[in-house]
Amino acid sequence: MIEVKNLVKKYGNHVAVNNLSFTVEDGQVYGFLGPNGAGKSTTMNMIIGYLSATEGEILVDGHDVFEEPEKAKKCIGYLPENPPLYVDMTVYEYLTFVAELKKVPKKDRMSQIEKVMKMTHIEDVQGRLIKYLSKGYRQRVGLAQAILGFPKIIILDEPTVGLDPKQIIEIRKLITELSKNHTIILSSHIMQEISAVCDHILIINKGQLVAEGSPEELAEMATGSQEVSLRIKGEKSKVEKVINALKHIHRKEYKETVEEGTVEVLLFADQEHDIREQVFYSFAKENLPILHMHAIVKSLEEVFLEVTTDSKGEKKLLAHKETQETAEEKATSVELEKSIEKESEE
Amino acid sequence: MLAIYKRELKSYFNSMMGYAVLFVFLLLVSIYFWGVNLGNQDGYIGDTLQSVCVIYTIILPILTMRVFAEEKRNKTDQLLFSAPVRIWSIIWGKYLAVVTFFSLPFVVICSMPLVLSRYGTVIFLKSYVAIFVFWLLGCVMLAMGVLASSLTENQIVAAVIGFAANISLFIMAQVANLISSSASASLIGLSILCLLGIALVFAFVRNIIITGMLLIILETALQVVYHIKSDLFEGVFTKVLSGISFYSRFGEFIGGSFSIASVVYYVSFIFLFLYFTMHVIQKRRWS
Repeated sequence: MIEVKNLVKKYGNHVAVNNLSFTVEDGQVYGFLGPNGAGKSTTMNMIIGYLSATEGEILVDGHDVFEEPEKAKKCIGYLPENPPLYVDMTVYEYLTFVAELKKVPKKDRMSQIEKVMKMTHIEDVQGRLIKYLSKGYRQRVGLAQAILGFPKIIILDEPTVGLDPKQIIEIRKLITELSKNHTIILSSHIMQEISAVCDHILIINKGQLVAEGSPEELAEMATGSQEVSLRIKGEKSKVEKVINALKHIHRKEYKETVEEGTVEVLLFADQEHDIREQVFYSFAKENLPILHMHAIVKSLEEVFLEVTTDSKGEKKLLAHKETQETAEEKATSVELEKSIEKESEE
Repeated sequence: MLAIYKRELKSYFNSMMGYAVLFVFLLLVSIYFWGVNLGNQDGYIGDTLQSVCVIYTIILPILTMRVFAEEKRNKTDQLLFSAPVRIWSIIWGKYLAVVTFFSLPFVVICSMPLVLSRYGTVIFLKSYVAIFVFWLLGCVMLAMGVLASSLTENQIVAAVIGFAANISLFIMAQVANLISSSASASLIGLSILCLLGIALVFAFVRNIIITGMLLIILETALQVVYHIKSDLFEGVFTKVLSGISFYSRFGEFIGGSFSIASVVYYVSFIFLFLYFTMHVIQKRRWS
């Protein structure tokens, strides 16, 4: 269990982490989500005792990281953003060194090293010098290093950065497997990764905790209103008349026409009243066919953007841009994953 | 500590640099041995060592430059400092590894008096004391190099800092003899020394008020003593300089006087430099 209380980290005048408090329960997968520079890595570095806090305290399994660093560090395996590898060593030598460093008893060393190499699929390269390994293999060696000693808590800072989709899926599988026996904290700025593997999500922005909960809880939290998109065949004036007569609608947006002779509209309503039935009957009465009706459920991504952007106009614009980018990113990576899954099925 | 020691030592054997440095060191010692001892039919190895000790200023910073600088650059320090190991034992593990590597050529150097004894009488005790102190002097410089390496993440910068510190200590011994022993010269010299010392303190503390106060107190103390009893200052600067310099103390040993105080002085500087190293590393975590 990790308890973080009122954690503050300042670099000169810049506040990297601002009064952060949270608790990590045993046996779950926690995700740190936040834009670049939100303070994810800094927080992780403080938990493992690499950086010290300006204020506040961190208890790992009841041991204060700053008072009893050895005891606290013994409970944690850590994979930093850049895997800390000695490139002039072979994979096996390196893992032996790490096992000694982590004070793994001599009789368990061999078997543990074999086990972690098997888990991370690096047995084939164990005799190679790390400097000749590809990025994906290096990441896996870094992961093997973090798992070694089988500490209670494993902290992974952006474990899938720079990996190809196939490797990403492998690492996710490994994380899910590890989560049976370990508490795992991982950070990422990629939403679907977090929502795929985490039981609990902490969204951090500008060093502050802005939202916390399970992926479902967070999605619910953000859906304060209901959104329904419609495509209706008919003249615009008629459609407008019907919409104006609808109840519980507090905002409507007319969009560009996609099909000829139709009207595209987005309706916003209170959450309590499902407006879909009402919409259906009203248009049916006027003989205006609904070609398309779709209730929009917010994704974690939108929750993330909602909580990490200010309400000021400027920031919103930036957020909008980001939405587009991340949406594209998401689309391509989902496609890639699908194609890979298909391949592996074949 | 053992794990770090083993890894560090192995990395010296894995790099070309380590072998090259040892080769050059041994080559130079051998050339001087050939010239000074064999050529002049001199039975005392100390004369060779005294002539050759200037190359410490170049080779030792090269041996130590990567110790912490490389770790920081490759971010492998995150592994070390997140492992359940004390910083103090990380530093000692690394230091002892470089000392072990540096000690290898001494196997050859230790055989030199034996070679000489074939051609005449050799005072073994005096010879081996000279070799021991020569080795100890190297160890002090290595500790200083480790400190230099912890200050930066650029190996070259670390080497240059180590070299600059080394060469100024070496020159200090020479300069000490040139300066006039008059009281006013001593006062100026000591003031400059104070200023340098305070600058060093400032580099570590980074607090202008504390260091400023310290400077003012020291300077007024100097001035007051100078005006009350100026004859106290005569020749003091020379004494202070040669007292500070590791190299002039080494010269005394070679001259044949064994002083426990100097050995203690060397050993305490090893601890002091490594303590500073720890301080630098801790400081980085806090800033």
